[in-house]
Parts: sequence; structure tokens; C-alpha cells
Amino acid sequence: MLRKPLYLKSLRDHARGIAGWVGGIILIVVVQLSVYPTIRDSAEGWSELTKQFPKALQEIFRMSDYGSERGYLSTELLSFIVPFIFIGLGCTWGARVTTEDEESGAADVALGLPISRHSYVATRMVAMFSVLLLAGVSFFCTLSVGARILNMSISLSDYAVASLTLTAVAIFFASLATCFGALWGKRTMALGVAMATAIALFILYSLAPLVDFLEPTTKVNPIQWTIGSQPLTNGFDPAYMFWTVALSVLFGALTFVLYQRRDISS
Amino acid sequence: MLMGLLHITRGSAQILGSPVAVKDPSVRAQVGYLPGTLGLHKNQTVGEYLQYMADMRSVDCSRNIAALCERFSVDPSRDISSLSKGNKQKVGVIQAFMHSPRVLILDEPTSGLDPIVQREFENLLAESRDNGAAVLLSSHVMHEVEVLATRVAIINNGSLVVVGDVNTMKARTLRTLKFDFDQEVHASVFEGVEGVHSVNAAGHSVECTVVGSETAVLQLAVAHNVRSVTSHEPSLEDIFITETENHHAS
Repeated sequence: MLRKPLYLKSLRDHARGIAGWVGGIILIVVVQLSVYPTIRDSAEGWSELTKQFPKALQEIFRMSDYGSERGYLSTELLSFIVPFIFIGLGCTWGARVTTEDEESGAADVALGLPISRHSYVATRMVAMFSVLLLAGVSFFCTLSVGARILNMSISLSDYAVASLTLTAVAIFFASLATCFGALWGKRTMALGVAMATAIALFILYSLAPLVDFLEPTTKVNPIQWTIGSQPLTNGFDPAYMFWTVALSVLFGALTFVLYQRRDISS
Repeated sequence: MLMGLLHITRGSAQILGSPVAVKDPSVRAQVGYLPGTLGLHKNQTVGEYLQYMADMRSVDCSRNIAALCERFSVDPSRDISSLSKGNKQKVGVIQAFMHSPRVLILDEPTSGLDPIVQREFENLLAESRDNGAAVLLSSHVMHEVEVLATRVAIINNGSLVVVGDVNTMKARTLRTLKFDFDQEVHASVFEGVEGVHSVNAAGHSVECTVVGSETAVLQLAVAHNVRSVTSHEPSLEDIFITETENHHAS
């Protein structure tokens, strides 16, 4: 069902983009780790300082025990920028799975080949998952090696759970963007709506601890299921991960149905 | 629709006896397709693109690719993004023919090609046809269709107006015969003769428009000592205009 030439081409066509995204992730991890010794040397001071931050800010960025290894890494790597890089990468790849060839006018020839639409979508989705997995592995490797150099005491399995969580949030929004792309056939629209959804969910997730009536939404918020579960401090949450994966699979399945039903514009 | 890009809303279609369906791509292995608006993958050389298409078809086309590139003077090492419209069209033609398909579906295939390349394309098409390939060619260039096609379908506003072989269509279309006689001949001589649609006489010349068989009118002209006959055969363009006008009228 999967077509190797299409898989390789999907990756090769965006090799530079992949290098840019992955390089960005590695760079941010390296920069944040390089700052940690300074924080560690004055951990108590930093903890006191962050406790003086407005309550809202502490809640939004889930700042707890900033001076500790886990607290620092959770705040700096798993609360905002890096998750949004993963979400951005997922949305960007997801939005183009079904739309790229159609918008460039190459879908006529691509789908005129002896390949089913299911096979076409499946192959391109696997390419997308490969990129997201590469991003997750890069994050894990950089963090593991960097933490070892800095003599951090966090176990590899905890880094693996953190990396898995980031990969899961990327896959979730990638699946959502893929679904929108299959529905509309417009890359920018799929990307825009998926990113807007991510931002809206993040705002909801951020405000939930501060606004009582929003608090119940955390239970159904994929941001809470993933980065909100704070994997470095709380460990792996199988229930949250199950729902993240289940919804991703649902969106993925919907993508196949929607793309199969749609007329391809030329 | 034949390539599975659009869903069939009414009726059915078959290629090589297999029903055309979005879900079943197997029949497309034997089809070469050139769309009207060709979008080629960028970030590739011509050679890489053609090899990719061959790999997707799981067939070894390397010899055909080399031969066709040489025939159409296409440099496989050039980046697709640097090609002119005509050269991109050549690449499109090559990818449609390179796996020696049994069926060719070509939409405006000579768009952007210069006359010499057009001639080469016509030769290639004739070779494929002679080798048993069925060709479905869509074009607005009537001369091209007239030269290449044995059977023509005219579609107007999405409706099939007429389908048939070119000679039959020509026979059904008004043709003009101009006769020059030794002496003056009146229009009334030809009026009412089988196949004659209208007559215009001026001195020693008579101009008739004819539909169908010309036998009766030619025999009559010979009987009146015709000196010369000039026949204006209808072009496919004339046929197209006549048929679509008739379609609108009905």
C-alpha cells in the first residue's frame, strides 16, 4: 500500500525545511541547557524570584520549583516555545499532505498514476509522521546528551516521555491539519485553521487555572492531555496519551474518507 | 473522470473493459495521461522526474526515457523549474508515452510546442496508434484533430453534439462546388438535384452547396460540358461550427 518513491520524494522535496525545523529545535534545547548552570548556581534565588511573578504568569507557564532541574526544563522547554515549534511543524506538514500536489497542479499526473488515493494519502502521512518522529528523536537526543554533560539527574526514560509527549502533540495537530486539507483542498486554509485551533486551545489551557468556569475544559483539551500533563514532573499519563492518540487516529481516518470523496481540482 | 480525479455522477465509463472508478487505480497502469494544465514537480531535474514517474509505475522505462528525451531534444539534467513552457510540455509528453501505454489520454498535447516538435509529436502518436494504442485526444486546434483523429466527438457546453469518423462528418456538412462552363448555364438546371442545397449562377459560372453524395450534381455538370470544377472541402472547423450551430438551433 505504501509507495517508496512517493515517500522518499515527499521527504526529499522538503529536506531543507526539515533541516530548518529540526535544527531550530536542537538549537533551542542547546541554548536553554546552556543557561541552566547559571540557574543551578543560584537556584534558591531563582525560585524566590519566580515565586514573586504574578500568579497568573506562574499558572500560565506552569512555573513550579523553577530552580530544580525538572522545574527548569518543564518551564523552559515544555511550556510554550518548543511545544509550539512541534505544533507548527505538525500543522505545516499536515496541511500539505493532500493539498500540495493539488495546488501546484501536479495532482492530475500524480493521481493519474496507478496509485489509489488511500495509498497516496497513507504514504504522505507516513512521511509526515517520520518527520515528526525525527523532531522528537532529535529533541530527545539533544536533551539527553546535554543533560548528561550538565550532570542532570533526570532519567533517560523521563526525557523519552517528554519527547514522546511533544511528538504526540505535533501528531495530533498534524492529523487535524491533514483532515482540514482533505476537506477543503487549500493548504493555507488548513494550516490557518489548525494553527488557530492550537492557539485557541492553548489560551483555554492557560486561562483554565485562573478562571473557574474554564477549569472543566482542561479535561477535554488536547494541550492539557500533552504538555499540560507536565511529563517531566508528573511522568507518563497513559489516559491522556490514549485520548491524544485516539483523536489523532480519528482525524487520520477522516482524512482518508474526505479525500476519497472529493473531486480533485486541476 | 477517466483518470479517477472526478467522481462519475451519472452513467459509466470503461477503459480496456474495466470500469473507471476513483477507488480502483489498476487500469491506470496501462494509461498514459497528459493533462491540459500540466503541473510538474519542482526541485527536480527532468531525468529525476521521469525516473520518479517510472518508479511509481514500477516499470523500467530507462531506455524509452533516453530515446524520447533525445527525440524531443530534452536535456534530462536540466532543472524542471528552469524549463520554458514548451519544454515542460515536452516532458509531459515523454512521461505520458514512456511506458508504452495501451491507452493514451491527451488533453491539448501540442500546447506550447513549436511546429517542428508538433510534427515529431504527430509522428510519435502515429507510431503508438500503429502499435495498437488507443488515443483519446482533446484539442481546440481543429487542424491537429483533422490530421490525427479517425473518429471525432464534438462537445459543446458539456453536451456531446456529434460523434463519428471525419469523412462521414464531412459528407454530412455543406461543401461548395464551383463549375465553369463553356456557355451560360442557369441556376434552375441544378435546383432540386439530389444533394444540392443552394445554387448561385453568374454567367458561365455556377456555385452549388452540396450535402451528401455529389454524384448527381457532377453528372449533371458533365452533361452541360463543364470545363472545370473547384471543390471546397469542409474543414473540421466548418464541421464544428455547423454542428454546434445546429445543436443550438435544435
